[in-house]
Order: sequence, then C-alpha cells, then structure tokens
Amino acid sequence: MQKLNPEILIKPEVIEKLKEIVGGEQFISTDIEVRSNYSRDMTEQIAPRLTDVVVLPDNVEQVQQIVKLANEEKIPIIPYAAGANVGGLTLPTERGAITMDFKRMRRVIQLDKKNKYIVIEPGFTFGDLRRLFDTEIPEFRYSFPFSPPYTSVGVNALLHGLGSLSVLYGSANNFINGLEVVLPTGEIVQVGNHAINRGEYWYGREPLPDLCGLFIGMQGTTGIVTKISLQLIDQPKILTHFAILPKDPIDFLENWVHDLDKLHVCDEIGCGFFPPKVAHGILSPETIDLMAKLMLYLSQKNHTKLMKKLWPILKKITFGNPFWFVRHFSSLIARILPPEDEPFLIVGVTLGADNKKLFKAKYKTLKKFMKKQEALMIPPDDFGEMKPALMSILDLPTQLPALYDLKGGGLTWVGSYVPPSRVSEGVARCKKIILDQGLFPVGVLRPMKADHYFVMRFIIPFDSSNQEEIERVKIALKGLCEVILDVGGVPYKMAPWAAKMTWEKGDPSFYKLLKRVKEMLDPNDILNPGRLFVMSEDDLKRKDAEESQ
Amino acid sequence: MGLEGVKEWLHYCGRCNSCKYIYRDYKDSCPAYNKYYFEPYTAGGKIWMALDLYQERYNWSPSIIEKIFACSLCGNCEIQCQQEAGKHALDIFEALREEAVERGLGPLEAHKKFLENLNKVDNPYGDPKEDRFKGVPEEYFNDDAEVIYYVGCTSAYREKQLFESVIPILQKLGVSFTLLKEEVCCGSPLITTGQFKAAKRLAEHNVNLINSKSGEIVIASCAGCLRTLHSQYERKYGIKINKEVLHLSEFLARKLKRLKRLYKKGKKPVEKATYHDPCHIGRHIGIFEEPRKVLKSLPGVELIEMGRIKDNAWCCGAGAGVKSGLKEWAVEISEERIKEAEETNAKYLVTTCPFCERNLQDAVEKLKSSIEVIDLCQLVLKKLE
Repeated sequence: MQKLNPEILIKPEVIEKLKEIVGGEQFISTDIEVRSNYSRDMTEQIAPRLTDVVVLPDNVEQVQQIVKLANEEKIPIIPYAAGANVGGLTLPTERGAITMDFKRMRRVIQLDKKNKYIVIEPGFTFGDLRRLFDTEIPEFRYSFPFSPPYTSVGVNALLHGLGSLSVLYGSANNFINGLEVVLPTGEIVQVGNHAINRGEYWYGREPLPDLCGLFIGMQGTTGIVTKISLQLIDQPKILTHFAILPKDPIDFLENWVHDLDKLHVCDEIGCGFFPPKVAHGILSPETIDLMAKLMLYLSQKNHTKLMKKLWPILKKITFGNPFWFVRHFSSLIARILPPEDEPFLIVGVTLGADNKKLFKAKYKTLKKFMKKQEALMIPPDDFGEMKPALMSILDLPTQLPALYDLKGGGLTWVGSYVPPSRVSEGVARCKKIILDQGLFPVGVLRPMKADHYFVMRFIIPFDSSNQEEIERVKIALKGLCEVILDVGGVPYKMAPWAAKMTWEKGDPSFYKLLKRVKEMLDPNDILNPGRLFVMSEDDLKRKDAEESQ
Repeated sequence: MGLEGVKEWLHYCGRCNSCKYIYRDYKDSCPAYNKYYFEPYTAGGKIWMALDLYQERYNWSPSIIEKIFACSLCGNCEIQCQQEAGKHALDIFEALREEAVERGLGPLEAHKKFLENLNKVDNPYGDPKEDRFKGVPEEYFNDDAEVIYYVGCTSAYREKQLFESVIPILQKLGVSFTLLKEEVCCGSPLITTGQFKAAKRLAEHNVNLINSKSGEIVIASCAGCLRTLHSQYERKYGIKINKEVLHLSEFLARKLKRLKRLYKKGKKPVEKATYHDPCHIGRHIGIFEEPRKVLKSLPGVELIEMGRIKDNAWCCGAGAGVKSGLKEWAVEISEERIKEAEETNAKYLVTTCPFCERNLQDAVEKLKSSIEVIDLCQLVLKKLE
C-alpha cells in the first residue's frame, strides 16, 4: 500500500486563523491520521489526495467566518455530517481542502408541535430523531431511511434520500420547510416562509418562489445548510408490518406492485431483493437458505396455493412459529427443492390507522388483494423466533448488520429514481450485470409518492482489501449506471463518474443552466469542487457539436 | 503480536458508526467521541487508523499515541457494534497500545511510572512493599482457608475502606478466608496500557501463588483485579488460575440467605440507591445481576436505575490508564455519570470497584454533588448487625 502524501497546501497562517475561528486547537486538526480518516469512506472510491485540515465549527457564525476565509483564499470546503453516505460525497478533491465536520452542530433549534415541524442543525442524526420521538414526541413520525442511526437527517433530505414514508410523500426533500444557508461568498441567507416572518415560524416554502431548490440535490456545492426545517407527520395509533413473498419477483415489479399502491392502504411498500449470502447476518443460514429455495419453488412450480394451505397447518403444529419448522427441517425440504442459489424478493408492507375499524378495513383489503395475487402474506407474529431480528431491521433506523458483516467492510451502490414502467426491466438487467461480475446483488425497490417514480438501488457489499474485487465492482457500477440511464432513470447521490455519465446522456441545456447557478453562487468554486460539475469546457463543446448534428 | 495479531479484523469495519450510540436507545456510548469529536477517537475511526498503520500508509507519531491512549477501553463500542467484527474492537485497541510500546512511543509518561514502581515494589503506586498488609493481623493469613481474598493494590494502599469493610463481612458470614501475604499487583495497569510483556512476571507470580493454596474459591473486591485474574491471564499469557474466581458481589449473592439473617432488624426509612456497573466486571465479564441482587436485599434500600445501565452503562472514565494519564478528562467522564445518577434522586451511588469509586468521588467533589459514592461492601457492612 502506498504511503500517503502528508503535504498540506493550505498556508499555516490560514490554519491559525481557522483555529481562532473554531475556538481553539481542540476543534481543528491537521494530524495525518485525522486527515486520512476523513479522506476515505466505505465505497470503492479513492480520494485523489488527503484533505488538508478538519474543523469542527459550533455555530453558523463560525461557519460563516470559515467560508469567508476559504473564499478569500480560494480553498475548497467539504461539508461532512457523518461521512456515512454511499456516494463518496465527502471525499476531498485534488486541491488542499478544509473538511467541515458538523458534529458540534447537533442541536434542535425549534420544535413546533402545533405547526408540525422541527428545525435542526446538520449534525442532528436519525438516532437523535428516533430518541426524540421515543421520549418526547411520540405523536409524530418521519420518513426514516433504511440506514444506520448515525446519519444526518438534514443531509438525507437535501440529497433526496428515500425513507419509510416515501410511498406517501416521495423523497425526503419533500419534507423540507425552509433552510438557513451560508453562501460560498459568506452571506447567511434564509430560504422559506420563515424568511418573511423573521424566523418565528418555519412552516413551509409555499407560496414563495422556491429557492430551496438552489440547495437541494446539489451535494453541498452551492451553499452550506446550517439549519433545516422538516415537516413532522402524525403517527397513527396502530402500525403493523407484514412480509409479503410474491411468487414471481418480476411479475410483482412489472404489474401488481402498482396495483398494490393504488389500493391506498399502505403506508410503506419496500422491497428487498437479495441472495441468501447477504441475509446470513440477519437470520440463521438454514432459514435463509430455505426461504430462498421456497421462493424459487413457489415461482418455478407455481405452488403458492399449496404453500398457502400448508402455512396455517405449519403455524398450528409449531405453536405459531412456522419458521422453527423451516429452520429445523430445512435439510429435509431442501432435497425436494431446486438447488439454485437465486436472489429472492421480500416485500415489507406497513399498514397504519388511527382506529381499529380503519385498520381492519385496510387489513381486509390487503389480504384480499394478496389472495388474488397468490402471494404469501406473513404477519409479524408468524415470524416466531425470527421476529426480533426482522423487527430490528424494520424498526428504523436500522443497523443493517448483514450488509456490513462481510469481510472487507466495503459498501457501494448506484441508487436511482426510475419511471415505474421500466423498473422490472431495469431490475432484471442490473441483476445480470452484478452476477456476471461474480458479485451478489442487493436491491432496494420502492414505489415513491403514490407510484409516480420508483427507487431502483443496487447495493454491492465488497471486500475492500481485495483489489481485484474492487475492479469488478467498478465495472458493475458502470454497467448499472448505464442501465439506469437507459431505462429513463437518473442516479441520485451520484459520484463524479456517475455525474459525468449522466450529463453526457442528458440535454446539455440542463447542465449549462445548473452550471450558471453554481457560478453565480460560488464564483471561486470552493464548495465541494470536482463533484457534481464534472463536465469540462471541451466536453461541453463536443456535446454541443454532437447535438447539432 | 501487535497489529499483526489482529490484521484479519482490520478490514471489517464499514463505518456505519453504530459504535457511537447505545443500540436502539440512541444515547451516546463513547466518552472519547463525546470529548474529542474527531473520527480517529471513535472505535470505527481507530480501526481505520490501525489499518493505515498496519499498511504503513503513514508513520507513527505523538498525535497517534494521544488517540490510542484517549480511551478507557470500556468496551461500550463492542457492545453497540452489531457486526461480528465489532467483537474484536478491544483486541485491536490493545494491539495498538502494545505496538506503540514496542516501538518505544508509548505508553504515556504516567503509565511508564507504573512499570517503574512495579519493578521496584510490586505496586503501581510506588508505596513500600511491606506496607501492603501493614497492621493486618496474622490470623488473616491462613493457608488452609476455603476462600482466598485477593485484595489488590488500590484497596491495600489507597481505598482502604473497601478492604476494611470486606473483612468484617467475611467474618460475620463465618467464611474461612485468607489473604495472600506474597500478593503482588495483578498487572492490570500494565496490561491495559500495552505493557503486556512486563506484566507477565506479575501474572505468573500470582497464578503460582494462588494455585499453591488449598482454597477453591478466589474472591476479589476490585473489578480490575477480578477481570485480570478471571480472564486476562489466560487471554494474554495462556496461564490459568485453577480455582473459581469470583467478584465479591457474586460471592455475597451466593451467601445471600445467610447475609440476610445478619441484617439489622427494625423498620428503617427507605433510602434510594443507584448502581454503577464497572466496565471490568460488567461489560467485560457479564456480572450485572449479582450486585443488584445484593443491593435489593438490603433493608431500607430501594434500587433506582439510571438511564444507561448494565451492557450500556456509561464508563466512569478511570480505566486503562485514563485516570493517571489524562486526569481531568477522567473526572469529566465521571461528571456525566454523576449527573445521570442525580436524575434518579438517589442518596447513594453504589459501585463495586475502588477505582470507579475514586473517580466518581472526584467528580462528586468537583460538581459539589450531594450524592454519596459508596462501594457495595461498605453499604452492606452498614446494614449488618
């Protein structure tokens, strides 16, 4: 492994000024072990150089002073909340950079129960939010992503994250009421209705011109958001998760997931598509092996009806714990099932209601629908001994032990939003690409905002100590991105290479407009340079020439 | 061994950051993260730093030593990490310390003093060897006794009140016990600061000494000594005490029936007590219920739990050389625990480790708190006829 270059490009006097701004040397570091830690992440991406310095501001004034100084000196700034994104978004670029870690800015600024919003700082995490719900405001909920607790709530919203309420509300940016932003030139601006009422109520951004869009999906390239107001959603009194096992994953994605959404009874429809290997960290190997084979059995031989009949009997003879049977007799059953080790699809559906009557009606509707689709619908109580493990995944934020519990600690993805009509095709093609590279596909699929768009995200866990595997991962990621763009989708939280592919595919007028916005707000290109704006002048000229032909 | 011995685990951490929070409770779990913020102070960040060092991506430096030793090895991160690899976090941190010592860069100055003192007088405080059991009656040394009481340096030289309360309890219970005249430091201060090799002599001495006695049970009232005798000797040096090793709270829990008969009679006003789990016997060994069982049995005492307990307990901050090497921070960590204890409105903050007791007491004094820090044995003695 190559030695890291410890050179620091930022002038010592600038480092001294930064020290003064953040309130002393305990909040700034140029130690190489700190710089190295902040210059890598769990993905396959390698930062071209180490960040020069890491600072820990405590408030918006300090952020403002740092930005002003960086702008004067033309030093890049990389905003860093938890460093746990899967897009390599906090990796430094070629120039000596300041990484701005928001751990000290983790406060709740305003909690307005009547107007149903919360104003938080960028370091406030989903763990903090969960705790707030559990201890102080159980009457509310929020769209929790399928991610570990130590990730930033605000950043998730700014990067179009998806979550447990995406089926109803779309990606997390839809929850944003307003922002406080430090512009790259150092001005503090308020965006949203609170700008008019002078911060008294951060209740929304309509009917003003929606300038929040200048900062949403921009990967921290146009401003540093120091406060964000997010809508809180009423928590229904009854909330239950179900696992659905469709007999044919592709048929499910192509056809009846859309009909399921149309029922308007589900608070959540989330699909996990994964091979047994990944699930081993969550469930016992025998159970997972059996479940995979069971899925295959159902899909290949169309034996769902038989399984549906068998299920109540299994429940009875195992005292409500049919998976006990599955686990203990897996080797026996395995003999009659095909041996193929295919990924399988499991759908999590959540029903919520404020009273029993409504819940019952929703449940009945869902059950009837599943009967028609010949899918197996498993209420949580049927999971028996597996229930705690499964509930620990469904009770968000999750820990995702299985995804991380693989040798190598590497995790990467290309996530995207695609048109619902093309998702089944996309899944089939992406699966093939990943399997062709000898990797295993883990898919997250979900209809968004009443099925107006669809999440198609393939996560690839990998061994970060295996260079040959990393090369295969890169090939697979590129292939996935091509498929996404080909089926009319757009990647989100895109790494620079994915951004390049996206802009190459797209109408150049969009990129040019985006670039004009960036240049207007950040004339010295100090915020997260080299990230989203990856097209060179030559690239643009070539594209223009291609377009005019 | 150093990092070579843990290399297979250095590639596992994907940095989900779960180590920083109590699992499913989301309160902070890591004192170092709370204080220093920067990633290499956290478990995940430290593992990546260890990987960098193993791969020789940069050179060892004093700032790295700072990060390695700014940790009380409380093991809360290991509990919160939901991955199999997380179960090796402490092994990795100890390997970092060992390698720092091997390279002549560690431990911290204060820790070097331990070695100096131990080489001279067999205790880390540098007190005369002969003072260990000064004034202790000869009758307490009885080779034929059933129970061997390993006193430990802190109880023998500093927090004597603990030793002084254990003896009368054992006597009242009618236990046939002996102290070990030739007892030397268990070696914990060296083992936890990376000076493993130097501690081997102490380990061998204590194992041979204890194994030569006829008693079948060894008891320790210090959590650090208990962990060292219980599992560290075997883990580090492959040598084992061939007797049952128990913490005093475990021993009392076993004798609870007899103990209850000795409690003072008559109705007393109820006093609230809360219990602090020392990392060495709690997270590291799993002794959670026994101290509570004894505490709950005490007449006129009501146990009120703090927010973070048992596996999730907030460390007092004294362990693994923090108390000696980073004095102010050690007390700061305890201050958080005292505030948590105050929320229970308890009169007593009970613990089962003289080292925790000292550090918590220092925080009480700093905060001018009215809560009374006390060892379980002292409280038990108060309640005996």
